[in-house]
Amino acid sequence: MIVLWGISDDGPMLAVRQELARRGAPVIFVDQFSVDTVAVDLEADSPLSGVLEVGGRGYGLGDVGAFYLRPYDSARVAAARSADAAMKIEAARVDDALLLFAELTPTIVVNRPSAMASNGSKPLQAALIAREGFDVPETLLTTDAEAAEEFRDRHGGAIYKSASGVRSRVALLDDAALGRLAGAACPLQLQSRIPGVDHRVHVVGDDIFPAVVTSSAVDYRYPGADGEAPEIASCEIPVDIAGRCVALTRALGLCLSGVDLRRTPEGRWFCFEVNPSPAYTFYEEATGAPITAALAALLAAQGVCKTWPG
Amino acid sequence: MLIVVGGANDAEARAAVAHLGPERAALLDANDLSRPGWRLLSRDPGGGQVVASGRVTPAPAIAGVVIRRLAVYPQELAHVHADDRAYVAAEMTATLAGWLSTATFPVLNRPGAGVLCGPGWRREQWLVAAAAAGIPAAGARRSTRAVAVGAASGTRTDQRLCVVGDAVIGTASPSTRERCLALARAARVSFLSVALDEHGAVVDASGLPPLTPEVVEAVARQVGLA
Repeated sequence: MIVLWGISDDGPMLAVRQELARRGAPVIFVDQFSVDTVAVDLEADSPLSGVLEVGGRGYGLGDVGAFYLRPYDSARVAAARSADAAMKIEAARVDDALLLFAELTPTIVVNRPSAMASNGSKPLQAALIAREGFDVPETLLTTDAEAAEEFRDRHGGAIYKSASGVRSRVALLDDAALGRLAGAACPLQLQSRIPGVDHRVHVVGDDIFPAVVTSSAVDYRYPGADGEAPEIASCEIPVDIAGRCVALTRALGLCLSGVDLRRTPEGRWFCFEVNPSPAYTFYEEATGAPITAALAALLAAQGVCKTWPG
Repeated sequence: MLIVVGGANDAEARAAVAHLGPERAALLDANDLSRPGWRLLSRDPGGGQVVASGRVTPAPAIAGVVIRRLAVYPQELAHVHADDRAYVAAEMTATLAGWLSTATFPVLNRPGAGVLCGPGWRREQWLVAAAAAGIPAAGARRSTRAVAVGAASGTRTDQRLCVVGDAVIGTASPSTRERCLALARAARVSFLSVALDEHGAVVDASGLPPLTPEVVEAVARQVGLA
């Protein structure tokens, strides 16, 4: 049995559901928008057991062979449903029980919450990435404009972006930004500016799906004008870099990842980030890469993959 | 210098700093993260400088850190515009996580699983870890139907012990003390509060033990504070 958890109109979740349905795989979809129909009774002793109730039907937790989760912030989901206080509490209770199950179950989980957590601190994750042999940009966390200016000058340019998992636009550290640092409410994360071509490599188990992204924007996710709109195409990457992406994903305890790389004009490969819950359908639609099929196959294999990290 | 990472209103953290004195300890709270003086370079994990108790503190002057919180919360940031508090709290938490996960001095306990004070386990995870390590433990049950989440019927805390490195603070038999040390090893933490029932079975644990004066002294010894 495969359990899917998220919201029904999420791109990757919808794609995986459709593919698994096409394969005739046994799937239970836990819809966050229908949390009032969900109950969890978990017995965490070995072996793990209990019941997941969805829409009035009960399923044995010991029968779950794979779990793919893309939960949204339950508070936002509840707000979208105009849920009352009691429903919000119930939603939080169900969320935590499912997150606990994701941590404890010995089956394949894409991805375990604890493994995904490194993405919540970019400096922390960068240290893990460097430990696995990738080049990473030098980073400064500072509340001092003087230190920021010295850093920028030493590197011939710097960018700043959020240190947390909150999405932000990558921006060049110009004099105006330096001026704002004096009154900053918290340390600013600066990185040396790395020239080159962006690549996004999706890793699904042992499979990789590299794509090259061409854009003149500082952050291709936020093109400022038509001319900056990204062009995305499948590509090949060096075997050693491909292997390093798979090894990095595994070292982080992940089965699925979106690895952000940049290849410099000199041929060096820098890794900026590993996204543990990638919205990969954006790249799949652009390139035709069969990421959904690979992910569905990984989930459908169920008990075969119990040696996966976590 | 022992840095206590905690909230400005954390009475135990403030008492711990007062107990050791301003020359030996400082409290690093959310206000400090908004002050000039922070400089942390990724290529120099043992260097840089932070701000604690309002003072710039070079990293080489830090003997160790004890973490008293899981995250920085928006509610602490009255000095920040209300619209920005959630973002700033996340940035502060991420900054601390990055610093404390790579710092070269002892950290009790290093960040893990998305929280500042690792390992970030729920009660059931502690019980499962204890059982896996051969330590008697209460049954780990969770039901979304229960009114009181997490409280297994029939479990009652009879005593609490605190692990600091290889030491166990509190009165207990050698076997019980060894169980606590074994649980800390299983969780890969050096600072742990363990709750046990009357039979010596683990009923709960936490990486955020109370900072009694005895525990504070043990922490100071653990990090090699003179």
